[in-house]
Amino acid sequence: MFRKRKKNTSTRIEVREVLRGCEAGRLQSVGYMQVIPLVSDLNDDRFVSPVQCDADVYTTSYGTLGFRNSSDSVMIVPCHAGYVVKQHAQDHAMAHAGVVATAGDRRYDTAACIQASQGGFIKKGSYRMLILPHALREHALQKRGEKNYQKLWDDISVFNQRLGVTGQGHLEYFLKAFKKELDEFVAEFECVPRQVGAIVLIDDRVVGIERAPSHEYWLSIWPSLIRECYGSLAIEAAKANGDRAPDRSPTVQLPVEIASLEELESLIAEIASQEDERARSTVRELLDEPLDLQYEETVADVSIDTATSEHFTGQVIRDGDKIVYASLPATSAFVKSQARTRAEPFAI
Amino acid sequence: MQDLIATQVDDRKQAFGLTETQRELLPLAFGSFLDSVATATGRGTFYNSREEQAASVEAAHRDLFDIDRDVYTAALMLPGVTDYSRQIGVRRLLQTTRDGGILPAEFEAVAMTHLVRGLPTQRMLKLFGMLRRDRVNNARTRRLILSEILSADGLEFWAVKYREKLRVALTHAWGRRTASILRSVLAKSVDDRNEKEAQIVRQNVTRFVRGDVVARTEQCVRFILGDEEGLKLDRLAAYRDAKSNFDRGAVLPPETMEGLRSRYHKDRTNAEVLALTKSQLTTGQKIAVQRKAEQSGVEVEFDPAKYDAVRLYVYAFEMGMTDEIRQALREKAEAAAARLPVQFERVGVLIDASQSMIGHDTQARRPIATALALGDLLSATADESVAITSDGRAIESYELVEPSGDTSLAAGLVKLLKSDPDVVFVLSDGYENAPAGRFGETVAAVRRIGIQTPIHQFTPVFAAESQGVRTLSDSVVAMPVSKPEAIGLGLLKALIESDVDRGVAALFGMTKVAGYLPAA
Repeated sequence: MFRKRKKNTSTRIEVREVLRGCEAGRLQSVGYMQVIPLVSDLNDDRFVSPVQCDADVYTTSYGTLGFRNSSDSVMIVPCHAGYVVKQHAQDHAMAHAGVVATAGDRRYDTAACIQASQGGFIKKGSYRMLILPHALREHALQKRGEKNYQKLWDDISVFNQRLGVTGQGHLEYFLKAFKKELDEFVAEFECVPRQVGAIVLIDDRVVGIERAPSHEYWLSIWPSLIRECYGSLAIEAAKANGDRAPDRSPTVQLPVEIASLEELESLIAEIASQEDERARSTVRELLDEPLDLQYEETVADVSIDTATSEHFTGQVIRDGDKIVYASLPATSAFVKSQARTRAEPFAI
Repeated sequence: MQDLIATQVDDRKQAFGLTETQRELLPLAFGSFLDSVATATGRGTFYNSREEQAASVEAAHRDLFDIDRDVYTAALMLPGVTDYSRQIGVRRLLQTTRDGGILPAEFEAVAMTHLVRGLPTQRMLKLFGMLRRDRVNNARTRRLILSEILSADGLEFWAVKYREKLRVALTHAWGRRTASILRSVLAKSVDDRNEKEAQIVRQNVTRFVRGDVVARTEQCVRFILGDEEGLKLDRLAAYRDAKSNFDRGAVLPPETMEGLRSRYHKDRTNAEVLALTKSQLTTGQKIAVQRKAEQSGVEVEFDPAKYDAVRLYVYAFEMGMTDEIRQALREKAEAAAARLPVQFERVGVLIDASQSMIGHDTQARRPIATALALGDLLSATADESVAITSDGRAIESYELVEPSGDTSLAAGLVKLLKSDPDVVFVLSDGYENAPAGRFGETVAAVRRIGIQTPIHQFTPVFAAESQGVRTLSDSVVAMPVSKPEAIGLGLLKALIESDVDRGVAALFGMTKVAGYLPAA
């Protein structure tokens, strides 16, 4: 049915469709960032990521990013996947998601250069994938149809400037300046069994919903999501707090007066259950949010839609009615508008 | 904790001549150094790239070396220091001229020989490669390389297995010109050499040979330098002949024969090489090739008793746990526990079994394997023990625990404390996320309740980004450990932090350098 759809056709669904079959796992919280794992028994292993299948990545001209999928599965290129390479070649990123058929080769001429004033093309090869910093993703998506390799330079410059990094239009300067912090995010958040997605919060504000087709797919893209995409937002939060080290104490703290190990044990369990409920309630609050899907294209029997709502903007990939992939970063307006609700110490 | 090694301390605190500045700087530098040398392997971890590890390790070595060269040398000799750390240490000692130090100069020469001989052959040769790369070529270095290679009992085996590495090392020590002259001279029989040529051989080869094996050594050197004419030694001749006759490779190491197969016998398979050379497998290879052997239908026997506990756990994760391995693990844990100067009545062990304990791809499952082996050892030090994982499972010793999920250790700690142990050991990489900080908060609450049970953290992974191991709580000292026998390093670190002089005395005591100490 999707093949018959035309570009710009729109459909309305709710966020619950994106999270169908998932339940919230235990909240993980370190510093400014919190992650609610989305776990599911649904595991669609027909799809692989460029990381899973060791896809060959290359550029053929400025603004054209190519992917060679030599696997026997359909490859979903995550929304805003990018490549920073150690070559005399211009780093590039996708302005949207992509789908490459089994044993297929696909070139996207809507890609963006993320390294101004650097010439050269990326040689065909397997490289570490990143996903654009959260602050750039909304801009990239808005410009997804533009065939202009310079389209993100100004946005990168503003982003760098905001974080005190010099380097107009060079994303790699940001990555270099905050390498240590970004690496730590990968170390601090662990994937849990059956995890296929996550709701990411910074300072208790929801900043994104991510969903993958399978656990293996999720494992392969999670380091890129937590490191560059959402990690960059945590760094911005730290900057906004005057570069203060984040409070490493738990959000809900134990009371000072505890009389016995039995009491301590029950308090830890009670707080954990309270945190679980908080995670579930965060998910529940999102379920009814309407999402407008704007049809983009169909490849290998799956369709790509751009999803926008009051609070999120991203893309989903569907196989018939079933959403197999979704990446929905919160809009910058929503990130700014949410009030931080730091919990009080636990008390009965 | 100090009592654990107090028995080994030779109380000579006045004899070492440590200055006040050294006393001040040593605890921090020594702690950071031990964090590094106990676990660093020169590979990436789950958290850090290889380059980050290398930079951090170099800094830790430099800091201690700058304070005192002999303390640094003795520290390299501690049991549990990784081979990688020893390689770096020997290179640093050879790179720098001795100037001062609190022990006599001969101590360093003996220590260096001890350190190099303790390295597995391939790592010793890698060290020699590092010396060449860094252009370290002073007299001490040349003598060390030549004596360790030319006096080796297994030189013939080494020659076929590590031919190129040996050629590089010897050429570095001799220089290209001398190596070329030696190749020509050694091609002649002893009787055909003139006096000058005989002297060149004596000067560069014979004087380093131990015992009556000069002819054998000369033949090995010829082979290493690329001359295969008239070889009589069995393995060397087999190497030459196996290029045309596959079956002659039966006495060659498997990887050597595999190299010859891929070049000269392309119609033969890997499995045929494994079947032909299985009698030549080293102890390490026998465990490493089990999966390949199984797939190829070749039976390669290996004896679990010959491997360390961490390696056995890594093996069991890949091939499955058996009663034989379980028995070997039990014997190793009990033997190692008997060597520790400590016994408990009741021990609590909390094992972090979260996903990050899988480790980096290049050392998969090493952190959890180390934690399990250490857990077994600690349990074996006590009459009774309770071990649970971070996700609350009670576990038996000598069983596998598959890492997965997030890290929450607080509930497990309380559960253990309720069983009233003498001591609790937490075996974790120090990354807590469900939520971060709960463990530290819980330790503080436990202390406020009035429970003073000692809680120690052992960390089986090196976290370069924090210049040492990550602690779960400000009030719990985290100690690094790469293998169970290295547990003494953590204890020593704690002692030096509390009493520098006694710590240094314990260091010299543990490394058996007492013969070099000045009279008290």
